[in-house]
Amino acid sequence: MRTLIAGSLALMVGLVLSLGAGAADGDKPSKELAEKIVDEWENLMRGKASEGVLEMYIQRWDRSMEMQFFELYPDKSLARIKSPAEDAGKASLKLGEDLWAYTPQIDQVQKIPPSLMLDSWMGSEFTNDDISRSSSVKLDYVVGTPEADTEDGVKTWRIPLEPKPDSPVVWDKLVVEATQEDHRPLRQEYYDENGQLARVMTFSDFRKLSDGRLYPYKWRMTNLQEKGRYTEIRVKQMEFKESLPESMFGLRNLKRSR
Amino acid sequence: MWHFVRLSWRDLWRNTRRSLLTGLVMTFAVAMMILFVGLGDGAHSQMIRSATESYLGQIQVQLDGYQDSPDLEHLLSSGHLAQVDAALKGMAGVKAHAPRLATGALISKKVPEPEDPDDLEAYRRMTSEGAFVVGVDPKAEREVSTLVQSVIREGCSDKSRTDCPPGRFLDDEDPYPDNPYMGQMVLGVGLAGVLDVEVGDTVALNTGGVEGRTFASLYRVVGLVKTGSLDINRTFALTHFSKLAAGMSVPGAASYVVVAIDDLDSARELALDLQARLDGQSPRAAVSPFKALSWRELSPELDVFVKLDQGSTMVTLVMLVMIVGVILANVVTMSSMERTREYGVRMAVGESPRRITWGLVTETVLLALLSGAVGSVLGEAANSYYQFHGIDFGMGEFEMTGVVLSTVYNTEVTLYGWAFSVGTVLFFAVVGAIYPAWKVSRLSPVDAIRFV
Repeated sequence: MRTLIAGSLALMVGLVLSLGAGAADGDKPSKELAEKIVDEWENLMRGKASEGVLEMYIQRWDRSMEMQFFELYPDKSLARIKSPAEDAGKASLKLGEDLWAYTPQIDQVQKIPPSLMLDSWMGSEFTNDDISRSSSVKLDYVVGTPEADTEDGVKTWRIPLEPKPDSPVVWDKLVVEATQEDHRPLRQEYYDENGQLARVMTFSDFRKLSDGRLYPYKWRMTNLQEKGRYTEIRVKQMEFKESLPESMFGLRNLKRSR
Repeated sequence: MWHFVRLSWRDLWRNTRRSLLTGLVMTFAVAMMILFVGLGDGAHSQMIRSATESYLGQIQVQLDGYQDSPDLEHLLSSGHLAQVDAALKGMAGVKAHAPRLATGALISKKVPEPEDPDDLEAYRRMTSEGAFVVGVDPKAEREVSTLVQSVIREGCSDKSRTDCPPGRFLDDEDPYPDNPYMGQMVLGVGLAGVLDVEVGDTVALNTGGVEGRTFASLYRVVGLVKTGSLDINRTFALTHFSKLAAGMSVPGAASYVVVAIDDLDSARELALDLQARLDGQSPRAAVSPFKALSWRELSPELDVFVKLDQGSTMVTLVMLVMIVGVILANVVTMSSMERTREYGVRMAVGESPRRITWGLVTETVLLALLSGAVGSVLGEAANSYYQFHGIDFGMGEFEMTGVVLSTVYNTEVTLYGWAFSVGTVLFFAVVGAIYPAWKVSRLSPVDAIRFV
């Protein structure tokens, strides 16, 4: 699931933290810079394939789930709940635009219909849409001109993303914020149709992975329309790989519970 | 006095044809107005009745806040339900009540796994739908809504098929009390069609329980409901209240209690009364946990629609009264003016103008009363007939703001409807008589006799 979440959110957020590319302070706030930051962000969050374990903490219910995830970029992922026991074995599989859920108790695969894409995923602050969206944010949004800002004393760029006229997105505007120094993603804001800030995702606890990238181990999605309830993803293990077998992302594997 | 009335009566029948014609107009006016008022009242009640009985209910008892956020955080606990039961017990005007638990869910047909699990296309073709799942107590539900009667006889959602077992409503008791993953279900016919489900098939349901946990279980479809509400047909899935509550880990809890009452027009008063009774149970609580709402509050759109309909009926009635009035006054005036010569002769032989005036009014009142009686009999007969048989406007049922309305109207027989009709006719007949009477009283006998 992490993959699902991490991957897709990241994708959606689309800011890449480019390690090496510690960009210079002298950057001009141009559209080109914004595009570059978004590309870097997407590159950071994605690779060719990844797998790992994450804990998802839902503050509203004060409960956590641990799940294992596998992701094959750009659009395949599998997540399976390991604990708590009553949820163990529940899994979801994303292939392209399609999302399936498996419930071991009744041995049933269900396809999540488009009409439920905005429903909460597992009672969290994430939606099915967050989980299943895989395309680059640039497909649906136009990257605007960055504005300089500071966040906790760190110089940042705030980059507005406006939806393209016909793109099937629910948000009126996104804003991604990355550090000026190394383009590390700090937060992403989601604005609703009234221009109100509806959700905020923040990234923190950056750690260096084996392949050298600096990766956020904590992601928190706060729902400002629901009294600030949040869901936090805490990455336990994360590894980027050259590849994962295609067969992993099939219905057969989805149903292989636990 | 009595002598005077008898004289007027005799005068009335001196020209039978004239009086009969005038009387016929009056009779027809009374009968028509009685039927119109009856139809207006009947349509009004019918509208409220079919709208509330299909699902909504006339009164609902909810937890305060549920109306605005109908979620799992605003459920009535089993303790609350016991309090509601106690408050409703022995309450006058209340027919029955039933608890319901409603939630959203993901529903899909339980299909045999594709032979080849790698056959991705087969999995892509699977359909799931968002459904509105309602847990009901079948026995109690029968008393508060027409959902049970809405089950269609044919078990096939696909009209071209006839090989499905006949549909029925849920068994009174859950047939799988010990299996949390198996239950019975009745689906809206449209939803069943989308899912390609027939009676006898099994569906899988995935719904959110407390703490955002999801709960999945299987249900055997025993029947399909078809109502005039697209909403119900397209999204509703009904199952046993107890099963759904257990699955969602809220045993015994309900979203609201539906209350069926006798007199539809007193819904608001009864709701207030019920609220007071509920509050009286916990006098020390600063804020009542309950909200008793009538259909007017539950569906403000329906309330507006009913008021609009009442308004337009009223406008039509006013127009009808005006037409009846003009025609009546005209007929009575003309038939009296015709007699000017006669009055001149009567005055010439010494009858006082005052006596003539009063005679004319008395004659008219007598005729109006007689016609009113005949008209009442005819009008009320038609009214009674249509009260039981209904006037079918031929459009079946239709949906308005989420509630089902019927276009078969049953009239309503009321005392005020009758009194209003007879009263109107009497009033205009007298008005019609006064003008010629006044005119005659001012004529000199010579002018009157020469009047053409």
